[in-house]
Amino acid sequence: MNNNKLKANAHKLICYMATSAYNLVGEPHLYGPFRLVDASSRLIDILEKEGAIDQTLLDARAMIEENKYLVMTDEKAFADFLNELVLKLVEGFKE
Amino acid sequence: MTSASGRSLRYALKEEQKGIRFNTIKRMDMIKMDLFETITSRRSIRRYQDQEISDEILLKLTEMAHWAPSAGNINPRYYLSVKYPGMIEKIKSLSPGMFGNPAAIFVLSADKAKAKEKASTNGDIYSIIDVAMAAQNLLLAAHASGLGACVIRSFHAEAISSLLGFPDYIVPELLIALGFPEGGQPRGVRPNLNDVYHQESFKGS
Repeated sequence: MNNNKLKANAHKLICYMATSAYNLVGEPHLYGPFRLVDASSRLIDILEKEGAIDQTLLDARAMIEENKYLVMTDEKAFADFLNELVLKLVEGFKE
Repeated sequence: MTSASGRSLRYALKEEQKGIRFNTIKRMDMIKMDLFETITSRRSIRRYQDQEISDEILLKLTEMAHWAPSAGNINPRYYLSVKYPGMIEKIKSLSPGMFGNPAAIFVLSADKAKAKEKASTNGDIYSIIDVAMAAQNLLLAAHASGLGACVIRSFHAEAISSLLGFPDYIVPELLIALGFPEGGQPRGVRPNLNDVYHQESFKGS
């Protein structure tokens, strides 16, 4: 990806995160962790386009996309998923 | 959406044209069942196929939205549809509540100056109610047309206004992401009806 595309994609992600920060002041508290993992998934998208990616991050994104909507139906399962996600990511440090 | 009750209704109407009269209540039931099925099977859809939505469909959905009731008959609503992928991406970056890659986005907005002029201090809340009622019409019409949709409030209204060139007295209240659904139907979850429905007086919870 050239620098302009990287800048444009980073700009969009930063817009997303800043808008999330602003909106979260008045939104349900569980939207906070939800936005954080969603932003993580979006960051992995950008890294993938840059070629700066590894299997741990790809697996983490798949895990996020499969489970993030649990926030709307099952709070405990959502919390369990977040815990599993961190444990999954820490495995990447060991490789 | 094609349903058994929808087919029955069409059959009834066809038979009626031939001079066969159907019981009025039975006919009403057929109509209701078709609408009821649309209402109860609608879900918030957040994953979409890579397939364009025609301008004709968007116009028809707008017409359906526009027939919603208007509090105080203010009619402050404006509808804006966006299909250009570059603009959709920008709107998404300002709308944390929007997911997937919708084929189109509706921006439902309200003329706050008109609302205030016609309903004084109630104008603001009336205009929000109006937009919400229009949004529900649009969601049901989209579902009945085979589209998936998701209504979004989590966005930065001022930034969206600036991006789309809204005058300052027209305020975006809701976004609706639209596309042909991808994947299965999400589970619908609602509180138990018996816990929220009361008759004659409120019995406590």
